[in-house]
Amino acid sequence: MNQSMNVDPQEIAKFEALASRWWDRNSEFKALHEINPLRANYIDQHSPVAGKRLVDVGCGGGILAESMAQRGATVTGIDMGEAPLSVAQLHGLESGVEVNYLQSTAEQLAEREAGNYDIVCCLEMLEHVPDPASVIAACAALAQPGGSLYFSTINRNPKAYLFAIVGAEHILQLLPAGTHEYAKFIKPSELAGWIRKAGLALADMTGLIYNPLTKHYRLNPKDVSVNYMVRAVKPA
Amino acid sequence: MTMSINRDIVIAGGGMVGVSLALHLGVVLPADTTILLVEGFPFPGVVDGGRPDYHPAFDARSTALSYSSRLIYEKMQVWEDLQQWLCAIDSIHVSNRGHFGSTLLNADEYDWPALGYVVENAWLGKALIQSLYRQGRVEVRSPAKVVAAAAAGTGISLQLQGEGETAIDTALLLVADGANSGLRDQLGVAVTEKPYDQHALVANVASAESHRGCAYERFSDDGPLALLPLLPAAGGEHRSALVWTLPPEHAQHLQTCPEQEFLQTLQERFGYRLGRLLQVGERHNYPLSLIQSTEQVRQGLVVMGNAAHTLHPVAGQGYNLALRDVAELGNLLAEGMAAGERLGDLATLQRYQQRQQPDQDRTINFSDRVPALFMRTDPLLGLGRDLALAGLDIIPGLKREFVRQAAGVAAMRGQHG
Repeated sequence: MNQSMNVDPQEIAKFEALASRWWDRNSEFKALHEINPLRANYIDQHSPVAGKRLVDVGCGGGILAESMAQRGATVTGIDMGEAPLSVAQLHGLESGVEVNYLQSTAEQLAEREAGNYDIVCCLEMLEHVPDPASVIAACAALAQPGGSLYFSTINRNPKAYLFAIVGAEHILQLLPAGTHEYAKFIKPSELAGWIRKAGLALADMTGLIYNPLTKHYRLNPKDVSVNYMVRAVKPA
Repeated sequence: MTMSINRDIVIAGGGMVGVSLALHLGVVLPADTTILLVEGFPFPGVVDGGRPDYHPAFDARSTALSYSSRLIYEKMQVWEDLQQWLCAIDSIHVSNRGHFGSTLLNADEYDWPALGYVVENAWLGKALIQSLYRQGRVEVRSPAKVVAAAAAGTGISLQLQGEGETAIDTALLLVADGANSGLRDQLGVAVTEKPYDQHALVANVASAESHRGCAYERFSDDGPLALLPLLPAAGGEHRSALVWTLPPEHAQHLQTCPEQEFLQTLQERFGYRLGRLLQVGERHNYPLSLIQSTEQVRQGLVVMGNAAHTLHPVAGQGYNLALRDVAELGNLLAEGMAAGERLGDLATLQRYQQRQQPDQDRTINFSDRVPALFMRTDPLLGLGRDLALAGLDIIPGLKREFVRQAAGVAAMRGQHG
């Protein structure tokens, strides 16, 4: 693997090992399945995706990519993990949902396909790479002028540590232990800074809240203290 | 090439929920909103002055309608037609095999007209279709089927099978084609399923004595048994609708065993409160599970009824919940259109989901707890269980009343050891 690539081999290995269970709703990916309709509808509501070209950066097993294709988008999914990509491709054959999967970093794809996408999504991925700012810059390059970009990650504060690591991984066991590393979490101010530096305008921000009593996730624009998602726009 | 003709709303599935949805939308939406209902079974033609023939999709099962369902059907102007087929539940009798003591809830004590209403699905279906024809507002395609749906632009492109146009573009697709919804699966809307390892045996039973408007709930070790009051049969026989939850093997045996053996077993379980049990109608038997779709709304799409949530039938809550969903969706669509929102706009549909989520959660959790509660040795301690079978609402106001009642009953039992 190219030393200069913005990839953490340990992170890739982690998801390689879990790949076969990616579409099992009762597996380590349960939480991802449960939040997906919320993410997908959030994106579809702000940038109706039907008939649009959309790239999903860090697509993993293709959960978001397929749901965007189901909503009518022409989707490209990229990831650096070989096993998740094979799982995504196999699942596509089974579901009949068409997505074009490529093994690529955002930076590599941006070199070839700059300005090629109406919508760029990079969800639950930035906290797994060594240089998030570089990914965001590459995403900005992939978007066409006027296009929309979506980023989601986990905030870095004691509450996020408590909820996303202690709560989600150890108490509720919504995620496998070791999924997240606190130091890699990203404060909204940091994300906003990288977005601005990439020449994008921050348009909207919302939190994603889990209620352990009702076992439902919901979006709450007023609470970005743990999981949160932003929409950015590339100036036309 | 087939021409693409637009309809504002397409309802896939003309069962009880689909027709109720069509009726309600016909009432609340502006007159120029085009609504198409697509049903796989042939709908009856209009015969003798608008009275439809029997609809084959509706089987011998019965439905317990709650007070909220009554209000909804009154608004849709179905209630009047329906009344002749309804048997009011005036009281609910709860007892436990092998225990003394029983609970009796009376409608009079609450100043309610009834605790619920039991209607055979066949008549409910008939009244609904009759109302649909009389309303004359909704276009019906049957037998026909929506076989494929794909998001396109701000709407959904549909492929239909059956006579007539095969390609239709709609702003809003309402999926109401049942628990095993093929369309839901085709759209990639996943479901979660929780099997209960129990079967429901459903049949109509004739008895020597009248039920006098009483719904009976009888608890025993291997599952609950309910007899809901039905109107007398054409020959004047006293009838009740049986819903019997049993271990799968037991249910299968009782479905196929000779009538005398069945009646004897049932009589042993139920006792003689209805006198001798004389006759049993066609016996249906089906496995019980909680099925929930993992998403209910997308741009231009709502999953409704059993396609969205299939509940434990013993709780009698599924259909009433589906109707409350129908009412809320119709109202929010009407509000959204009045406010200038595009039909099928995701924002409107998400408001619907947010609005109905608490009711759905509450009802689903309640129904889900019922089978477990039934297995406890003292059923009278199972909070709220006594209203489970009658289709009583668990909407907050009524629930409070009943929780108080149930708690009072439990306390009384405690005193008597």
